Amino acid sequence: MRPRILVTLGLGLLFESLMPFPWSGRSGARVSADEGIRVLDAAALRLREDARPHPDYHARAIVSFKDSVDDRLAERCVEEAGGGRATRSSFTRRYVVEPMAGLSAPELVDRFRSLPEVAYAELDGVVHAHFSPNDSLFALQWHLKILGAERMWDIQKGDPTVAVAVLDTGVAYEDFGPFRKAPDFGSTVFLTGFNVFTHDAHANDDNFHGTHVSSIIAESTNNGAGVAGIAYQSAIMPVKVLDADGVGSNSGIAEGVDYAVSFRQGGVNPVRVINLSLGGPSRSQALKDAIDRAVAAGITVVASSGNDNLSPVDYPAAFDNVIAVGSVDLRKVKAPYSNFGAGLDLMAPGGDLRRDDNADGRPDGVLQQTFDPDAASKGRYDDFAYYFVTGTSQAAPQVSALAALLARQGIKDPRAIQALMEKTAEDLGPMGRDDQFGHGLIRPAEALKGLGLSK
Amino acid sequence: MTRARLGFVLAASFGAALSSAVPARAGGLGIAVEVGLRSLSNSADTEKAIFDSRSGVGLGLGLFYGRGERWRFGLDVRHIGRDGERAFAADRTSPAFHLGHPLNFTMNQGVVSAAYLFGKIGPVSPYLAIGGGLVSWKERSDIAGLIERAAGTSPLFEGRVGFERQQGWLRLGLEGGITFVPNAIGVGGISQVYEESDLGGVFVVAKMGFSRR
Repeated sequence: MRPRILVTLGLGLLFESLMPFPWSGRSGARVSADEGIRVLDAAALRLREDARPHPDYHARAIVSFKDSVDDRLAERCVEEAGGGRATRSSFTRRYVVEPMAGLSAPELVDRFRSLPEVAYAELDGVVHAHFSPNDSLFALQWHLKILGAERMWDIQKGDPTVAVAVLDTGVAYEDFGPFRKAPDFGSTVFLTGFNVFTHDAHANDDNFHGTHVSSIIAESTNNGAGVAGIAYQSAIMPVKVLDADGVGSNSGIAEGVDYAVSFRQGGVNPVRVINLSLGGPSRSQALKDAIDRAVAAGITVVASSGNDNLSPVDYPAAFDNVIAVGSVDLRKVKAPYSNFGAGLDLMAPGGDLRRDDNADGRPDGVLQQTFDPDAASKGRYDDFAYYFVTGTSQAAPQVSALAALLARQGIKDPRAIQALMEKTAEDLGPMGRDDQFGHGLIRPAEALKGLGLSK
Repeated sequence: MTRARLGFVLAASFGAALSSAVPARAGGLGIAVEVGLRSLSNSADTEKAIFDSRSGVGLGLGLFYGRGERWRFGLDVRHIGRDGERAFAADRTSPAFHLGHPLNFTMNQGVVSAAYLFGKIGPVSPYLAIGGGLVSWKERSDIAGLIERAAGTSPLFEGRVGFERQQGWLRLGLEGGITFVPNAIGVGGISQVYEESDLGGVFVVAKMGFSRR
């Protein structure tokens, strides 16, 4: 079966130009669509992996210490041998050590072998990362490479006790009437949803946007199929505040925020993050008040900056206590559509479908699962596939997912979560915070480290 | 039992032992060992963030030389170890949150000092001392198997007050004081957030010395 590409350019732009409260998703390119779930050409994937440059794993040493050697002595030996950065195995007293400047890896191995504490030392070879998900399309998720997702997952993968409320067009999270649960949400945990239009718990997606956004946050991962989500062990609370055309109201969104804030499960509210991949130019006090209640309840609120390449950023991203997220492409250059200005806080990879900077033959969008929006417009919500979509809508949920991981790691205060992400962001553009990039591109693994006493 | 309680019990026991000892005599060469609690109270917010304000246990070994009845000169080396967690705080006025990554912090101090003995007051001899030296410190974090390190060496200054009793060749003493290690930290980590740069703090130690009568 040959994969085919369907491009749905312009749909998001059309929505944005027509809607008072448009979603910020921009446009999508479909990987393949046969029978809903498909297998990407494995040969093509292999070719791509072969072309990708790998770090020089041979330029470092593996050293294993004798059982009588404790960690402290082992680390002293590493220092004495001229080792620089050292990574200890989680299971044994085995270290992977990079040589200090001026020392080669073979020389480092020789030095280790001369130490009586060392059981053996050898040059490293090509190995797999600590955690590399086996999802078949993971290799096409360039945004996860930029974020250093594998190192991030070594530290934190999320937990169902920490939930992200996705206020959007709904989510394909259940089989209900004509709606179907997306196949790659198999192990994703969903909390009871809320539909502000029908005032019931069925927050089903009739557009595609909310499903794609939720897939970025918590797509089932390491399940041998499809794509990966960033905080994939976190829970998703689907809240439908935008209709089938991606239109909503300030009051509806405020209602959705209040639902997320008031939710209780076993006496506690697992919602620690609210994702708002939506925006508009009008300021609403009702929405501001609802967001203030959320932040006061310890919930981090994240919103997309907007897709008009204009300043200032849209509301609700423009509120002071909302993390406003803009978009960069694969080169870490501001995406041409991404709104900017004094209210912009952080950047995440939202992509640019007109580019193919990694030369993989695919447009540089964010690849996640959703259903065919054309079929949805005809009342069919079961034609699932994997779509490249770009927009600040795709950038914001990456920040929301990181916020969920930080909450799980122990940071309880939204202000601290924002400050940590900003402090550890990769500074882009002019030095320091600027209006084009805010504080810069999020670096999840760095944020999850926190701070030591002096470093 | 917390370290603070353990320290209190040790100090109380040591004090009781002191009360039964005979008065001290100055003069001559001797060696001493010490154990006690040492804080980073000069960077209190940093200490609270990383160590939950728990003091570190310090062990030390020293040589001293008594000159006459009033003066004593010493050379001490000490090791202080503390365990905590990496943390984060939004700004200097905010509380810190622990992130669960274990952090170990050690200091090795070398100090020369001069003490003035006030003579016997009742059964004990009080004294006042000042000292200076170097501290070599190391910080080590384990973040899901990745080891992060930081280290440095800084000058150290300290002032101490204490009292002791001598019983034959044995000297028993209690000592408290404060150490200053200025500008050792504060350019990164949580100490930068809290704008604290001094690695010193108050301490209390029990000492046991041996010297000729």
